[in-house]
Amino acid sequence: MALGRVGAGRFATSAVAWLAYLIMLAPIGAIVWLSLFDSDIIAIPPPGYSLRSYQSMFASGNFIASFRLSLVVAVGATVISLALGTLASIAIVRGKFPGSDILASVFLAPLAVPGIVLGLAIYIFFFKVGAAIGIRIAGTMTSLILAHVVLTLPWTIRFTSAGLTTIDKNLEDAAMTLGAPPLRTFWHVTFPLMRASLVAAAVFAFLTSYNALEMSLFLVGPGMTTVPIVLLQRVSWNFDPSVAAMATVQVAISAVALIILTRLVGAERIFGGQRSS
Amino acid sequence: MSNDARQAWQLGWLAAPTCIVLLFSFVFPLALIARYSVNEFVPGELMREALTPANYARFFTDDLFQRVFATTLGISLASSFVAVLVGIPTAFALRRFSPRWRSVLITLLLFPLLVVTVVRAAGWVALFNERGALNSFLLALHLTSEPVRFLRTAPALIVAMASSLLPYIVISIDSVLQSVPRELEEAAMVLGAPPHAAFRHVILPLILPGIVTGFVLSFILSMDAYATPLLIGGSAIRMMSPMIYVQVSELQNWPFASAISIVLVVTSLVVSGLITMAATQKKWR
Amino acid sequence: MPSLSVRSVTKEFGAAAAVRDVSFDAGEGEFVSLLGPSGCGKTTTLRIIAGLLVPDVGTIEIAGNDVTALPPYRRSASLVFQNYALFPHMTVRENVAFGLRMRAIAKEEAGPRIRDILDLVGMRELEGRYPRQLSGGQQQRVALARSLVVQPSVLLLDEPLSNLDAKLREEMRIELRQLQQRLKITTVFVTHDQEEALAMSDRVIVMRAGSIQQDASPTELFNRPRTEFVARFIGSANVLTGTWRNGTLQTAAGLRIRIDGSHAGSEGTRGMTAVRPQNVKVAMSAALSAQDAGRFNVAAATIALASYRGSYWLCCMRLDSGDEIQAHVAADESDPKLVIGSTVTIYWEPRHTIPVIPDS
Repeated sequence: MALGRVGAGRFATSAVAWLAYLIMLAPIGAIVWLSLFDSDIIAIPPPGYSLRSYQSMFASGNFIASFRLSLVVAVGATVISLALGTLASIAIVRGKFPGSDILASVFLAPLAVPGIVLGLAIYIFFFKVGAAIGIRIAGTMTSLILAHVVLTLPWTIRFTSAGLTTIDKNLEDAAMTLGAPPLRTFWHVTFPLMRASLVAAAVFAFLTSYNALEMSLFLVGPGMTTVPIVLLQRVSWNFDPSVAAMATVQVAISAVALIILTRLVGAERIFGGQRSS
Repeated sequence: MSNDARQAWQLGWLAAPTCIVLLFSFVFPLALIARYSVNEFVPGELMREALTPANYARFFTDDLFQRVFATTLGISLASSFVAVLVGIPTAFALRRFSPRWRSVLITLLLFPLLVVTVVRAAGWVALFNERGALNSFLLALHLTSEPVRFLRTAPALIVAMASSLLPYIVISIDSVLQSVPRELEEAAMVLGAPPHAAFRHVILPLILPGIVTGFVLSFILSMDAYATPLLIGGSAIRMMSPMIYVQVSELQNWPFASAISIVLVVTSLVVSGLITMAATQKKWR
Repeated sequence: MPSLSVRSVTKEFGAAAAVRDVSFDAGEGEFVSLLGPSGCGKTTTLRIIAGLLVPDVGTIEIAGNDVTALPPYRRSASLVFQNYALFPHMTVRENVAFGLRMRAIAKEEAGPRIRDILDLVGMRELEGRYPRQLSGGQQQRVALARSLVVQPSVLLLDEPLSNLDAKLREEMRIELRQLQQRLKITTVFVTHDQEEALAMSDRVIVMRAGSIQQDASPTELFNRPRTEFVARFIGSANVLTGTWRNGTLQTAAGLRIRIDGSHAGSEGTRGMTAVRPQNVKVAMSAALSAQDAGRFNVAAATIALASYRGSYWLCCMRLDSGDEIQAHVAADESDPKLVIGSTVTIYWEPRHTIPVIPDS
């Protein structure tokens, strides 16, 4: 503020802001710090630092398996969710039909339901449907992917809609007057212009699915487990540096995703603020 | 209908696949558990068809569950409140930075949101543990003689929850703050209002919608929280989401779990609605 | 004792000095304009007087008190912002009442004061409306009322009329000036519009690049601009440079410009003079009588351009000596024969030659 006056008020707000950032980032910092401990147990202060917990992380039984499942489910859910979401946002943004606004809100509804409740509901539903038609649905990878699709759809729709609305319709009209039928217009004009938001949507959907805990709890069948679930169990019962290492890998993935997202979309836009630069 | 209009109308069909998926994986499942919440639970038989309010009654009359409900509401309100209290000054502090630094700081703010809640909760466990970072720090400085019990206390849980909620609040207030021109503050000061009066009479009324939005969002997120209450609150502080899981995984009581779920969703919506209404009534000075 | 004293105020932003050693006074009831192009430091100066900026060097005195160190809410100066800055969540009445509330003025006293000031600006019936329901002109009146009701020692206005359309601006100019004279309130008015400044002010301070170029009455500013910049900024001017010899300015091209008595520069020095187009006369016939030639500054010229302006023709000519001169030729019903390329004689009285300081 061009006031040029330093007062107690400014000091206080700065102090609180520092505190806020500390509270927000301390747990992440703690985990990363823990992962570098050169010991088998969590003892503070640590005897030394090393990357040994990362090595033992690979050795621990279900890490590789859970990593693989989380990855497969996330990729599957992202692909489906992106395809469905893109189509849906074209319908909402460019389509003019009665109830398009209501539909847009309905599509965002899954965000309002607690993950546990949604997971439970889907589990019970699939169980019953499976029992009725004689195939086991609940507890299969398909059911897991489907549940994650529901989880990620609001985000893919939100990102792709945002990207679509910023495209000047005149560009599409220009293409059409130059002889391109709708499908080709989409492919040559709309799609490339949407690329940034499509990638952002994919990254965000992937991360949401990869991070999902409550949605997966009910739907993992015997022998299946995802990374967040493993983390939860290990932290509850057997919290050692290799768990921290596993968690740090999660943190790293999130960091990469964040960098990609901010490059593409701009920090504040992700959660609905105004882009300031 | 003109060609254009028909085309625009037809585009609506593109939403059909999404609608189908949501119908079968969202709407129907939720409807189902709503239905099951009034079923009868018979241990051993999974569930018996009925239309009984017994599950809801049990939730609201049983001592244990009354406490769980109250705890969930209490912790959620407290965490949201703490987050707002800390978040408002933070949003104001952000204003002082140039756009470039602001972007960096906001990105830093968003980072925790992309990290799994479990990991963040694990971090708090590492900090709050009896042999954790905080205790080691206190002991080393001889501020206490014995490790302090942080885990499984309400304050610790509130802090851990608030840390997850802060980004939402700060962003919510920040985006509203951006739309308040500096000149309004200056005009107030030139008319004789010292900074705190300018804040109270001019800025606060204008950012109130942002505060309310942030608070309501935080409240709902807290009510729905699973990993953090589980790891930090443990057996001492029990909240509804973990409870739902227990009812299904250990007791196979689907009807009761469904009932708790419905109560959770409805309560979140009702309380959010009340808060929003109350806030838009008052403070308009 | 002047109502406002600005003494040697300097304010730097980084390497650039936005305001450099600015000093002026404003007497009680005086209407002073700060005039200049954007970036000249006029708004910065105003904000320093208001207390929103602290000067690096210099002092501000309001009604005899040194207020340099005081924050804006403890000064007796009121500022009307360019885009009014009305509080959107308060009604007109509440906006106007704000300053009185901050000073804890009792309701019994505040009520009549608010009522009177709203009457004065003609906004009484709309006192229950919100800013977004008002037109630009109405918002401006409310902003004015809000600043006046606290009875400040100095009223500061930051380009308050620039957001209004031309017609409304003219009306508001008159209203504002009448209001100010009625209330006898010392006013500092920032504008980039020289017409506005000349029309409204008792005194105009022309600023450029952070410094004051000239501080004078409107007539003095127009007839006796001190520098090349002022001469060009206020109205328009023909500027000619040359060397002073024998009391006349000789341009490189050989034109000899006569000037009234003592205004001539020292022999041999470089100099600059200006003459307003309004004072340059154009004679259709190729020559003047010898008697006239002796009295006036005379030169032969070729018409390069003639542009009709309603009450006059703007005539751009090139002299034989190579310099360019503009003149305003009165337009009456008979079209003067301003044919491009034709030769004419231009002349002007030596008393209309103004010596000016060249811009660096």
